[in-house]
Amino acid sequence: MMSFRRSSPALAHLCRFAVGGILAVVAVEAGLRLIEETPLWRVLPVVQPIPGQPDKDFGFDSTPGASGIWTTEHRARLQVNSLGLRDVERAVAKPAGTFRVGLLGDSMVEAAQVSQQATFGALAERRLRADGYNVELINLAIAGPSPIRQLWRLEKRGYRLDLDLVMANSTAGSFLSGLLLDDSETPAYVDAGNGQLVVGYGFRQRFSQRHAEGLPGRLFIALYQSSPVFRMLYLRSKEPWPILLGLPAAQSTAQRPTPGPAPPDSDASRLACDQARAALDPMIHLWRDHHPELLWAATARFLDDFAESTRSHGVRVFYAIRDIPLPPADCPLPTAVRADLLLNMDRQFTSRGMQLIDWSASISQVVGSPANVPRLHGFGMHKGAGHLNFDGHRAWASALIDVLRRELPVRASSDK
Amino acid sequence: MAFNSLAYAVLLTFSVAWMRVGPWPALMLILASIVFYAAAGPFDMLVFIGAVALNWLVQIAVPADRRRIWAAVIVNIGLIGYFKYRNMLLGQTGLAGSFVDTALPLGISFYSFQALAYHIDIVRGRNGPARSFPEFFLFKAFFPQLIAGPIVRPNQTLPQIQRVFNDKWRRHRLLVFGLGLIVLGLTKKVVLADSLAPVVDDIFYDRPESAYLAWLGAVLFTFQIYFDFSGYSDIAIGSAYLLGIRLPRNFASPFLAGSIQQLWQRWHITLTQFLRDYLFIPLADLRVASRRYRVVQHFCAIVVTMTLCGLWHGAGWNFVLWGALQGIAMVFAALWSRYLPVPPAVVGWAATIIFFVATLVFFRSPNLAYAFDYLGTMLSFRGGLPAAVDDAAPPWEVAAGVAGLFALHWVEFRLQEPRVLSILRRIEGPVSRGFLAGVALLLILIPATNVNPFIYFRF
Repeated sequence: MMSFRRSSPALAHLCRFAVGGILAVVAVEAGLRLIEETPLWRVLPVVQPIPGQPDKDFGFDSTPGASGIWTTEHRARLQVNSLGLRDVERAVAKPAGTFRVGLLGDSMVEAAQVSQQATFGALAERRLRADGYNVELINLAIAGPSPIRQLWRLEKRGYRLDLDLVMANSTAGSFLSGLLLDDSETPAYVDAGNGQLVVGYGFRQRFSQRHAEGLPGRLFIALYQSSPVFRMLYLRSKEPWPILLGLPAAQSTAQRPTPGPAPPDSDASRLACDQARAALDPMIHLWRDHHPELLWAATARFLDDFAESTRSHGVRVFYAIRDIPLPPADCPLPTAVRADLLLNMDRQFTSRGMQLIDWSASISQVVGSPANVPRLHGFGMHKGAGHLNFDGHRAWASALIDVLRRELPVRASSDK
Repeated sequence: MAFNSLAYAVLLTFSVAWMRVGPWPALMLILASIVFYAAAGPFDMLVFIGAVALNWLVQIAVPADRRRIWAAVIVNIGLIGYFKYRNMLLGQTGLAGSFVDTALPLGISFYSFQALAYHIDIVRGRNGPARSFPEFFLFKAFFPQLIAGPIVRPNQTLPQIQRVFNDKWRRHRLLVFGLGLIVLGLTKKVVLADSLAPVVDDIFYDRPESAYLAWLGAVLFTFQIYFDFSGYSDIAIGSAYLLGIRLPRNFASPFLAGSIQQLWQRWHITLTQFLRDYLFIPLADLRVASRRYRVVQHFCAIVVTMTLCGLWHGAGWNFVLWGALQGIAMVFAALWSRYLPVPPAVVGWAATIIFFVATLVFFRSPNLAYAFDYLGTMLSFRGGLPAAVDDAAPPWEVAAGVAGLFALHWVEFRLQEPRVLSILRRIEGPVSRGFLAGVALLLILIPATNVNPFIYFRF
């Protein structure tokens, strides 16, 4: 050691400096873990978890037992159960006399922004149980807008739970986005070359997928799931350079929204009319005119696959489509277009043995008016847009209970 | 460029390294300051360069007597007046009734006051002038204190800057002191102020319906602004120290003060001293009242000074009233101490804190109407404690959190004891430097859920 110091004092200095840096990592790691484990998580900085990992069948799937503090939009403790679901622990074998409902959906249903007890599924289950229904509402949802993820999720995680009914939930826009045809992140329908659509797994060529099974990949996943500092460095490394450097021009795009002056009532009404019409047009093209053809082929194939899969497992399906715009009352043309759209959508679902639910209308009915729906989304000063807030979950729970009550003929006192 | 950005860490590291081993340290500091301020954008840069040039012109073209003071006042108060108070004077309001112009050049309130102090001190013979334009430029543009202070006097930094130009500046050996200040400042800003910001924003945005929430918002904002600005000052002082320049301290545990006068002697110290020396003392010394009424004149000078202090913080009547209330409270406290028995220390402390917290509502509110509405909720004592719904933290956790903030403030006070310096001397070395540099870097990298610029950047 002495000779090392004498021969290269600069190197020795550098080594000691590096030791200090390692101690800093240990200290910050300890600090972040302390925050996560105490009530300080509600306010102080935490690093959002990545509660999943690359999956060769699914693209990206949640990891059983993963946990952390979700920070985007609103803070909540996130816990993935041993079955890989954002839900309380459930027995795989269905308890006798229990009616099991699987809630499929995207991030809106997964609801990482609120605690598990505050999700609409948990609220609805508690209220139904209090009313005497022996029911379990199991949250099968996973973030990601592609509807095909819901089918894969159902097959991988749902059927083994012996479900009686499935309540899927997608945005109307998710069928238009082209995600059903894009296999770069998740499985999707791709053209086989002969005009036939087959399930494609293009995402398997991604670097993360190719190395996820090897030792370095598994070590990497274990590190980002268990070490806040490592996860922080990983997440920051994926940011564009101007944002990583913290330059003002890059930050300004992430500034909080400032409310602008509200337009006059007459203009607002006309604007809402025009916006509803503009949003409905591509939907009616898809569901009534089956255009664009490739997109419709993928949508029809998805509906066929979903119906076939659930039929073969003896599970009934309610498919809730949300975000179908509700035009104001004095908008006759968009209202007519909407009615036509629903008629065509209902025809497609019913012909495959599934029941369509106009979720936007259901929620609007619960809160009294379409104008009240935005306040169900977002938190604090961002209220009006984003994922469901606590009021939103209460409203969704009410709408869900309304649907399920019609399907739950027996109470707990009765047997099933 | 924000202090809590990776870009600033790179700039500071490069500057410190260059100052230690490279040639032309003064030129490097000038270039680093230009790079630092250029991040604000070309408009701000243009205004700043214009302000420096105009002030240099005042120095070389106007004789060093009262005329120079008047010229400096016209240039610098004119600049602030045009950019900051134009809307208020014209009665033009923006969003939420605010007079604040979104195009306010970054740091204009600080660098204008600093230039004003420079000219006044030279005329009064307290300090010699800068010997060249580069010296003057670096005095104005020295990047650790350019945007939000501390507001330095020429006798505090100009001689040090002249030593940099002479290549004889003091190379500080106690690097852990500078790094420690930076880590302390980043902790205050990133861990505390930025964490409190969204909570405060949500409470003020939603117009709280219960007194509990309204008080919570006001208390948390008090700590937010303290951690934000004192954190900024700590980073500024630490950065300057690493570059061989000592800056004056700006905060001294203000929330431990036993009276409002004490609080203002510990809060934004360099601004308070500026106002005392260049505004209050001249006003109090004006021979406008007979000897019998000098006390009244003295008290009026306090209220006027603090009212202008409020106006300096923001172009809005809410800021004016906030400042005036501080002045009135100082007069009240002075009269109390003269004619009434001194209350127990804890009573004085509690009264001071409650007054400061309550009046900061004017500071945080977009306009007067909102502030009175908010204060009405605070004083209504309606609403009771919140029910334990919607994942809300129970009141005992909130109370513990607020107590924790005061405890942290006390810990920070203890950190200022001389024995801490001797501990730093003992641990100085590559390990401690690596540790502090590593913590600083990781604090910068902690992901922010929202962009929260330093609050005093807006002034």
